[in-house]
Amino acid sequence: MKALTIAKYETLSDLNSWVALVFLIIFPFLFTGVIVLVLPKGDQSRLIFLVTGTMNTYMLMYAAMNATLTLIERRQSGVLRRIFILPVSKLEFLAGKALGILGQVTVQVVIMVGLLLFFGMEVHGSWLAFIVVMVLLMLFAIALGILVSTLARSLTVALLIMMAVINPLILLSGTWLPASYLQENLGQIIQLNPLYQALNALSEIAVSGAGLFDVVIELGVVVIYILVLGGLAVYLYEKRVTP
Amino acid sequence: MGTSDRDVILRVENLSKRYGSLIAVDNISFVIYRGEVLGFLGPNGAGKSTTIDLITTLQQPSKGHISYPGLTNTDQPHSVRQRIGIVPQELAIYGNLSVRDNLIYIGKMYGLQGKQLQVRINSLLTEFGLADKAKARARTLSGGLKRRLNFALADIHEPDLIVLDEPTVGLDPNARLLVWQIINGFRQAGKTVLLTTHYMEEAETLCERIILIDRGRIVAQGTPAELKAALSDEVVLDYQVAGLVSPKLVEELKQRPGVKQASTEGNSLRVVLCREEAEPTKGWLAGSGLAITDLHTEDISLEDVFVHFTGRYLLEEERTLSD
Repeated sequence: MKALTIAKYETLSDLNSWVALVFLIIFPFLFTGVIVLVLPKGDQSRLIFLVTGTMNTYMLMYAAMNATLTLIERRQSGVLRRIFILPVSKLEFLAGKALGILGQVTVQVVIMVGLLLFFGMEVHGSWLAFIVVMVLLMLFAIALGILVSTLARSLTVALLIMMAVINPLILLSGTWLPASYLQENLGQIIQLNPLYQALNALSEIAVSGAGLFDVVIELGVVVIYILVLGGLAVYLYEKRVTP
Repeated sequence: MGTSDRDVILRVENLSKRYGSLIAVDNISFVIYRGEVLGFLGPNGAGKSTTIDLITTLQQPSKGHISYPGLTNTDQPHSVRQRIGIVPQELAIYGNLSVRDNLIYIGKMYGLQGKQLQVRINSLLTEFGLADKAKARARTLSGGLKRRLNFALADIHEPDLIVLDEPTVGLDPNARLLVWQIINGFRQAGKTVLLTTHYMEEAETLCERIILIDRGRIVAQGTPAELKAALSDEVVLDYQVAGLVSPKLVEELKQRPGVKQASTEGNSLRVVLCREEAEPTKGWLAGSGLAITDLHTEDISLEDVFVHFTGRYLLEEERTLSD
């Protein structure tokens, strides 16, 4: 129950400004509009892959940056010291924090997917599978963000680390540069990219009508990343992070 | 009432904390009595913050034991934390939340709910002069009001012990006075406070008992009067001089009989010495060629006590910088 309270007030704190609300609500509208206007018409499957890729890239960055920057800001302001001396475990606090960010990203997903459906995009496969993949991808982003917040002492360093991690993930996600264009070695390495796997799964679901069990390998890769990064982040918070 | 008659709310026995080869806290023992303001006085790096981390279960001791009489489940950090409120050095508040939401959030984390929480919040808003600002975002408050909120958050669950971690570091005199007023308010309300500080006058003004800590060890503890009594046969000569005092003179002074400490800063010379040696030393200094413009004879301060026990000053870093 405390995790829910943490999610509520952490989110209120994050969103209690016009700029934050613009990024949460207005930006997905603009973003989706731009996607629909800019992307070439024609091959529907390629279009869906580009749309889901672009959309998820944006949300990956939003979720990861939000987790990292707000946690470092809490640490720098001394709030984390107060939180860690409350009768709440660090795991519970981080779970609440993750839940809050997941809630914010869910609002964005609803806006973006709703608009894309309005503009004619179709999901031929299971909606449940589509949602599960997106939730897992966001959990991966949040776990990554929390982990980076344990490694960086300042916002600047956090941003640099995040750029160094997220840019290759996006570049090798297959969204803008299809895997077939890459050198043979990179073509194998790309399989280890959770963003690539998640986008592949989304494409399979939306275009080929796949269900949850059809994309179980792709989901498995993402889940492994969530467990490893999330576990490491919680471990480092327990053992190393002194507020 | 003697200290031995009072309720002990926290007992620390042979506590040590080691980080590799560094001993941050070295075999310290003390108790905190209900209703007292206890000062933990020591320079930066003395082990004050580590001791707070150990008391609040943020870190585990390498050796020793902390007990909270009346609390059977001391192995459960959450039970211990439920009884402690902390005011960190920084303004640890959620700037984007309203004053009331800050209190609700932290109150709920301590398990307060519903009407009980609202009653407590209303009481705190009145007590800390924040009632008019309950709906204001915390970041829009003045520095003084933010500080009051910082203290109110530590008191939301009416803890047995309020820990103040160097609450006046870096504050201007007005802000420091405000913090002192709040701490005095806690004292008048019978709350138990552990105040860590490296400001001697702060400890002397606010605390009933003081623990002097240096390099992880407790060097002395007692009431300010008891601590000073250890040096009761000593007196302080505080000279103002024209020009600077030569280091050679200070060294010669230190060699004189009965002189315990001699230090100079700017145009002042401070000498701690045995009471019976005061007059001969005054005569010697008068004949030394020193251009004396003023002389005060003072009683021993806690700073002198600290130097007596440790051989160094509480604000040694600042003193070195000013030199």
